[in-house]
Amino acid sequence: MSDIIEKMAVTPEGGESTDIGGMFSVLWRTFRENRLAVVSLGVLIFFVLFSFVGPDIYHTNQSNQFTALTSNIDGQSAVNYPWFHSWTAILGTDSSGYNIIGRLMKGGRTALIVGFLAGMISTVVGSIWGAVSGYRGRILDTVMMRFVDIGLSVPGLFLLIVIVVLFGASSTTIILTLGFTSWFGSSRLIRGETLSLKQREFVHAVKVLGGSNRRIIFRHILPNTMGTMIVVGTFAVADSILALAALGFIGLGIPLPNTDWGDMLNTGVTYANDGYWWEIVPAAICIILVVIALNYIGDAMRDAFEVRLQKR
Amino acid sequence: MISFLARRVFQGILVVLLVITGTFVLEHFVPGGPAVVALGRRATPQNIKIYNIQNGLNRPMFAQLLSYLNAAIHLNLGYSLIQHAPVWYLIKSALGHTVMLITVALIIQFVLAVPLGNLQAQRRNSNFDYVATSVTFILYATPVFLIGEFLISIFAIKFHFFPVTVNPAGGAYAIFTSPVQYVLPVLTLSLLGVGGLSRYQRSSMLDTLTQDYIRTAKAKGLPHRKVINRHAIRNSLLPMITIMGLSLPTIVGGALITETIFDIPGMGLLTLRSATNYDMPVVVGTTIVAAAVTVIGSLVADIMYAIADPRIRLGSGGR
Repeated sequence: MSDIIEKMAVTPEGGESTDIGGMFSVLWRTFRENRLAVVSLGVLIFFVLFSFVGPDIYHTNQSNQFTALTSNIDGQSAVNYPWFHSWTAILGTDSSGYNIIGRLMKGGRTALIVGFLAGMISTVVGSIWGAVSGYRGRILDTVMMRFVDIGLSVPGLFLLIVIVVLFGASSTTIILTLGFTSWFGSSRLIRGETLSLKQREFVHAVKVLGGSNRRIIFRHILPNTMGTMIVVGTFAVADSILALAALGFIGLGIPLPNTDWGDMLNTGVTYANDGYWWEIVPAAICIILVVIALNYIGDAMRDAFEVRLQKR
Repeated sequence: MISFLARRVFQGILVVLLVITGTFVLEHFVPGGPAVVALGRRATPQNIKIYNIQNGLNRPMFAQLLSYLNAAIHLNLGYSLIQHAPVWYLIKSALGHTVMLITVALIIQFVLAVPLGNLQAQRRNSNFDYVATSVTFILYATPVFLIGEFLISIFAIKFHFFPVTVNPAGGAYAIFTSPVQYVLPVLTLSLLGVGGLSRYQRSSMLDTLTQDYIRTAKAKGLPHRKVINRHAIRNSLLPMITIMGLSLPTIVGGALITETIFDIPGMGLLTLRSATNYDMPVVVGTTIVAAAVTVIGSLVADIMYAIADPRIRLGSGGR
């Protein structure tokens, strides 16, 4: 009892004010509440290490077609070698004789790089477009949002194919195309947030102090939409990985000698119905795991940025 | 209602015109310009020059755009480089397959997703809800071609329930005359959307169940089944129409992959075969037509919404 009284005596009227830590520790405290998201983060970190550090630890031939086709595993040809038969290639080999695990690492590197870069382009373009449209308002807003309507009504896959066919398939074209054709949805979200942000006092204050529109948008509005941007970006990365897989599957993906998970499925599917499941199942599991992980992380981030749910 | 529809039709036409403008701009960014698109990547400089003069590509940009739009509106989409036929002729014979496939798939998707979402909402946070959520999440994250390939290997190759591919000679209405061969393609395409749609239906139903009129219906003593069927479901379905309209671009893209897997001679297969042969006029043409189909589809969704929602049907003009 006495300690309660003592506490009341020192507690200021507005409640005890303690250091709640920086932005990231606040976010992390809410984020870790969501078990599934923490597991997903682990899965994602695993795949990043697997794809980028993996090849340095687990050396496989992924470039010399001749060596791959002519090599042997335990006295058998290393082409279409089944999984769980030998320690040298646990997940077997594909129709070109490449080790599946090594192939997954190489494909994962492409998928993660392309997905991340395309997702980032999409988020940055979408955020700037949405913020400018929402902040300037009036006729510019109408025009910019009609443009978004158009983007949302064109089937993205057709647009991707048309651009890849017209300009040729290379990593750069694919990253740029994926990025520049997927930002329409996120620009709507950021615009919505901007509409409410621009009514706030701090924006009025900058305006009164003579801050330019550009300063208001880039220094004051966009940083305040950071939460939405990160969430939208996470989903954009997941969608880009799926789109890249679809492109790879229809044969318009990353050109040889590079590969990605969709490309592995494309070549593996031919043999899957002969019972060579190891040529598509691992790549399929990788795609599904990474995309689900990113979606769960995105969901948890949305909660973490929701102030009302934050643990203080 | 009339003014609402008129505005939507006008917007739709504008979107299609702007999409055509978009492909016009893209063609001009291609090294060599529209002449290379029409003649192929191996066109000689002389040929390009002759083509440019013959087709007025040395005129001002705006005049070129106008004649490009004019040609596209009259379905004059150029000639295929590989198949030696007008692009519209190729598209015309493919379009029916795709439209039928998408229509049937959308209906099946609706029939699968809505009851699932409703059950999940009514048994919120039960084990059933958790299992269903996981399944829909996995479906959402699985690329459509994987769904298709797994369905084929199980139901066509292992158990021989259905044929692996569709007989391409069947014509556009084969989906109704010999439905067995279309079971797997339709299922593949509908499963693509079930994940997302059932999530929306779940949250829409959850929203509806907290409404005052549901409490009133319960309070006046209506049996639970009637509260759900008469009051909750009908109201929770309204947003679904919009969601399905918005998901059309994804479905059209999914149809492309589905047609590739099951060898259905629709727009998707046409696009893909042309794309792998660098038959650029066909790819540009199918993109324009696919966008137009999507716009018409979302227009239909809006009209259905207007009919279903008395606030728009009887109101002074809607949104």
